Amino acid sequence: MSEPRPATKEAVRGREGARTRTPLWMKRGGIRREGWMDSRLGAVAGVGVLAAGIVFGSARVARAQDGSVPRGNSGAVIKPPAEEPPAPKPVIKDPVLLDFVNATYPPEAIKEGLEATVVLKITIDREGHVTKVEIPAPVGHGFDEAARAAALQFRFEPATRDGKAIPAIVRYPYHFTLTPVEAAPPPPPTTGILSGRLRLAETDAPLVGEPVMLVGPDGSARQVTTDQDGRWHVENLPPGSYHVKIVVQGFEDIDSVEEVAAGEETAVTLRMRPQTEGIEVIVGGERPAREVTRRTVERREIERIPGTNGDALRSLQSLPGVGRPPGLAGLLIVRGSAPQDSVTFVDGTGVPLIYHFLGLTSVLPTELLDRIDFYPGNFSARFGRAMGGVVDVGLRSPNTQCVQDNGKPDPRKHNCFHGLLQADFIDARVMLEGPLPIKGWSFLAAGRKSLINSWLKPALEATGASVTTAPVYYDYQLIAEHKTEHARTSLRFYGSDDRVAFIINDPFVQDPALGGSLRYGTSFYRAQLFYQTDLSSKATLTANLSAGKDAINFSVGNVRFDIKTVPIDWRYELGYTFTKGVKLSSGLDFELAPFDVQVRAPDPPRPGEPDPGPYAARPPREVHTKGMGFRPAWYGEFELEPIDRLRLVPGLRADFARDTGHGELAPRISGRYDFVKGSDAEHPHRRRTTLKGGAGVYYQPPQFQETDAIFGTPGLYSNRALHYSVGVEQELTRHVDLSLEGFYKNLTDLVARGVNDQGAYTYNNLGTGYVIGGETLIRYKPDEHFFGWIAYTLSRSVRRDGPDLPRYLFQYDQTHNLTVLGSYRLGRGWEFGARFSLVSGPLDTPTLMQSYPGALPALYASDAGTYAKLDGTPFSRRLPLTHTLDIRIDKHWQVKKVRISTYLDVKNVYNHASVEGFTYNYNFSQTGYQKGVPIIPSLGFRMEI
Amino acid sequence: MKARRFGTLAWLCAVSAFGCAPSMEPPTKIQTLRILGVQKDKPYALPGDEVRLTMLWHDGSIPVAQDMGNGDGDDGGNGGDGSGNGGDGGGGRQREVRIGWLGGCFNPPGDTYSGCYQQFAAALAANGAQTIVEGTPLSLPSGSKFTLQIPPDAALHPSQDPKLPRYGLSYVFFALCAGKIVAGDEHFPIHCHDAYERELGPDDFVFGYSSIYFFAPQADGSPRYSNANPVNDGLLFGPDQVTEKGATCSGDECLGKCDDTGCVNAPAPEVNCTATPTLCMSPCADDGDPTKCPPHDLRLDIDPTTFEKDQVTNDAYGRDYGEQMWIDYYATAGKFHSATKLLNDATTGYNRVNGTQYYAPRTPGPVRLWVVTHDNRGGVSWVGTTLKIQ
Repeated sequence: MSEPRPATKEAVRGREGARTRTPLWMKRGGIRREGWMDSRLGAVAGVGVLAAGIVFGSARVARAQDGSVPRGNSGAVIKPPAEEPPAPKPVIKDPVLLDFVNATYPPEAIKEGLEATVVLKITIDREGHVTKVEIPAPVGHGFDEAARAAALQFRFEPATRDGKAIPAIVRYPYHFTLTPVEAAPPPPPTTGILSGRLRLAETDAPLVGEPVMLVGPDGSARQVTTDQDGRWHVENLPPGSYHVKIVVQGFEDIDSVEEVAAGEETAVTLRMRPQTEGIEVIVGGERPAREVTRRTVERREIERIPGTNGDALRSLQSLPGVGRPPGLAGLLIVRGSAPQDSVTFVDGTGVPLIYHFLGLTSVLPTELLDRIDFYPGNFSARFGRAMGGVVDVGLRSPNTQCVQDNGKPDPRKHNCFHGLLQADFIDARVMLEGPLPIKGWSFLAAGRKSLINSWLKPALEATGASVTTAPVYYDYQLIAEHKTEHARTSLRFYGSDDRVAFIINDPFVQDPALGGSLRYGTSFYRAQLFYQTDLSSKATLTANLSAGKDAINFSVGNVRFDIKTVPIDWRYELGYTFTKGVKLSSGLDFELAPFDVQVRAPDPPRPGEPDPGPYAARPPREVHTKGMGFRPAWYGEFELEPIDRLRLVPGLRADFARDTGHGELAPRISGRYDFVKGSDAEHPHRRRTTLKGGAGVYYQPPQFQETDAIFGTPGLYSNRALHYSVGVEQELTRHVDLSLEGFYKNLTDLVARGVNDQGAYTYNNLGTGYVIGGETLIRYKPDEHFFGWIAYTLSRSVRRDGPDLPRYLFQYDQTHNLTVLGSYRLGRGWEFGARFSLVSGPLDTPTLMQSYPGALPALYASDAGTYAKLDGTPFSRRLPLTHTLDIRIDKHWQVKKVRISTYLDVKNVYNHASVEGFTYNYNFSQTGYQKGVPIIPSLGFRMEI
Repeated sequence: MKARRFGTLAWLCAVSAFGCAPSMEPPTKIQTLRILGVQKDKPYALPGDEVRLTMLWHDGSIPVAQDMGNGDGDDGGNGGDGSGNGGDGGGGRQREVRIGWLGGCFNPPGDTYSGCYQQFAAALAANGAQTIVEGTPLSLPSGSKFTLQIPPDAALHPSQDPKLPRYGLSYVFFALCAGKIVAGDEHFPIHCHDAYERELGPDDFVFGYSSIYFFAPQADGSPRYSNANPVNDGLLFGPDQVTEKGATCSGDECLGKCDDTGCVNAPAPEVNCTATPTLCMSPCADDGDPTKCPPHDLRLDIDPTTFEKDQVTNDAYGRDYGEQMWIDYYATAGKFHSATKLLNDATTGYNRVNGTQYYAPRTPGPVRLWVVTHDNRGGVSWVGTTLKIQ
């Protein structure tokens, strides 16, 4: 007995549509026509049914022997009436269905959801073949034809009489029944998807346009390129293990093995770490900028620029547009602006000081910095209250990445601790970082203390000073952070403290008031909450709340200056991408600062006013002011990409200053157009050419003393500057970029000092000026061996204190500024770097005698017993060009997981004494050069784990 | 005042203290025409007061030995050629210098001396002198002393700081010229010409100013604020109190001699090496080199209890500030360890380390030496002596 043949796999659509199950429907006592059955299970069940049908059919046949019409699944058998006298009864056996054939369910009936039973009259010959099929009562809808066609193929075991085969006619009900049939399942997937994101470690910034190589289990390779979000996606990959290989110069190679399963997507996030000494890198410059120019200095560059002792903020002084400060002073002179015209932020929070005293080192150690973004001008609307430049420093996340025994990062292991110990002639620092017991949290704790007391105190005492408080500075940082793929929460506490006190037993000859007790101290701290999150695929939020305390006190003799503030800063920015190419960022920038200021001093001399004489000859005034500074600002900025290559960033900033009572609106716009797009998978050798430009209004409120009722003139307006810039960036090679930029700043409403109607000198807003210049930067981006750049700036900075007054070169004008630097890894842990700088000398105001020979250079101020200089034409004399060569030599050893480094950083290696200014004798009749610092070597030691 | 400015100031103090500047002649060495101090008998005055100003000056171009010839009262004649060259070393007349005083500036705008220019120009115009030709000799009060009359109705105006008392301010200008005092030009109002009408420079011409503050009196007419010149008991040279031995001068005793034709250096007394052996010393072949010559201790004999308080500040601000006081040392030859020493700090008080060391010159002969004390409220006093290098 053969098994019923399985039905075809064509899905029969029933009322409920196709399904993916494989049902088997059985009815009691016989075989029902199924829609289909195509599973082995169904076939087995069918055999069982058939067997049951045979059994039941046999039973019915048996019952039929007593004259009743058999029914059931096996069909009714019509026996011919007996015509002969009862003789011995013959033994008749009914035909038995051996081969059942499934009929094709009429499509029309399926469509209409019809079911039917077709009663067939089947004629069977002696061999068991079906010779004729009649349908006494047709049902239509195609059922009859389908049943006949199937029945004609039936094969029976013929009927027998007394064992002898006889023809027979049977009545067979053929049932057509619809069941909820599952649609045929799709073919099982045979391929999978592998996708990922490529990011920079710690900063989580995407790496754009980088090649990703996939090597399959069969050895075949395929390359894709990361998109603007650092993502890549590959489909139709046969299942198996794939090597994901990413090689980017300057970074540790990635070779990650990922499993691809059929029908599944494997998504990975890979983070690249630089090929440095295990120290994290800062953001590269590929992220679209909201400014015309953003110069980003990478960690490796910061730590290796000669002459800076590895100080991050000093590295900025090697960039174009940044002027050379006098001596070691930690001043930032940006595009011909005064130092107080530029501001420095730490993740959006302003800090009062960026350098410890003497400008030896900045208040934030380099190891803690994630990035330094420097905007020399035309900066985004998110920054304000400055008309010079902006430095935005980002603190990094704690590093919990484990390292292998060779010191290279182990991408598979996390939650490891790291430590650092460093000491040189200036200070000593320690740092510890690692995971916290709370899941997902990590920490970083660092501290630094100066060692300068060992040599500064004797130096001071050699001058006759009696040191009462040895010079010392501290800084400290504590970070606790939680990072997920979409959010970063960072709690920070950092601060610094500088102090020194000594008795100047030998007062300054030219002003004896600068003698006696000198006390200098600065301290500040900030508690900061920094939060960044992706609210959705379109929305991002960055919030920054900080509170702290600033205390600055300075006194010498009868002069004192004490300021205490409790600054509370709140920054909040929401970014929303409406559609591709349209993003809006809107934010608040609030500064709230209760302050307590005590000043006791004579009026300080200001440009334009004749020197009022030594402090010793002038009685001091005193002011004690308490108040609340409040400077709220709102800004909004669009990032528009109307076409693929063009990026426009129009913005508007609204500021208000409670201390002046004035508000300002500052519109700004910047744009970048990729005249030639950069390389991609299809054009690996194409080099980007970008045109850029911008214009904007920038306001800067007056200084405190300028609006103070005692020392200044209340009611002043903010200084105003219009920035214009245009430039081009050209990728020359994969590693070499060229940047040319011209800039112009139109300055108006400058706070100046002039003579009022009563003949007294007061502040006003009649000052004007301009700065014009061009910057050139040829940069070799860090690779495994080398980094360096050539920066040249040509500029002119001019001021005028009033409409009827002559123009003069501004104090910080530096016509030429050239820096050439580079650092090369020699191998075996050696690295050598050099920096050469050539800068126009600073400006100086000669004495009146030097301008007009008949005049005297100074007046004798008898109350002070010294002389008051008579100024000639302001800033009309320029000192000679300054040039210095600094070198740095590093050597490191990797002892398993411990990295040991020593370095020698020599500033002014050929001991050229730059002229920092003029010095005069007691009555200003003789002039000499004030020479700068001589050769300064610094030897350091560092150990990291 | 941003912290950065004061930080830079402190840095500059430190850098300059490191000695990165070239070495120039120190201010202590008197080798040209110099003013050493201008004393007011009333550093704080009242409206209606007469304030007497006294100038201590010295022509360092004249050898001291010639000054010793002035001790016999010979204060006339003309020595030298008026061009700053010294005389014949003894017996001859020194070059004469002229001193001119210019008072009458009251309450200039902004309280700055430069604000007086307008007043002087207006005064000249009122006298019919619309323009003065450059080089025209000026007739000014002369001599080592000058008296300023403060008008009884001199205005007192409020300070910009309301806590401070109402006050008046007067500037007195003076010129010390080794020639003729003449009118200047638009760049500088007064010039000094030699006999050949050549302009003399800062070695032979000093122009300066002194300020006099005046306040309303108390109800009984007495001064509200006291402000005396610093007082001292003389000079200690080594262990010797040389003043007690009559070897010093102070006040008017140290002044030069003036007549209608001009002024000459004050006479230099002979040094009695027996009475004051510390004033006599051997020359040093290294010519005053502090690192090689033997030091001679020198300091004022002064009683810190005589130091005054800054009464105006203390009354206005409730403080307890003293006067900031310092000492300037001068000599015609040799060197000092410190040109200026702190005597009293306004906040920390008396500085005991206020003396200095003197290093003898290479050349034998007399050396004149002065110690001038200042306070920051306009007070000045001086002590002078003569050394013998032999």
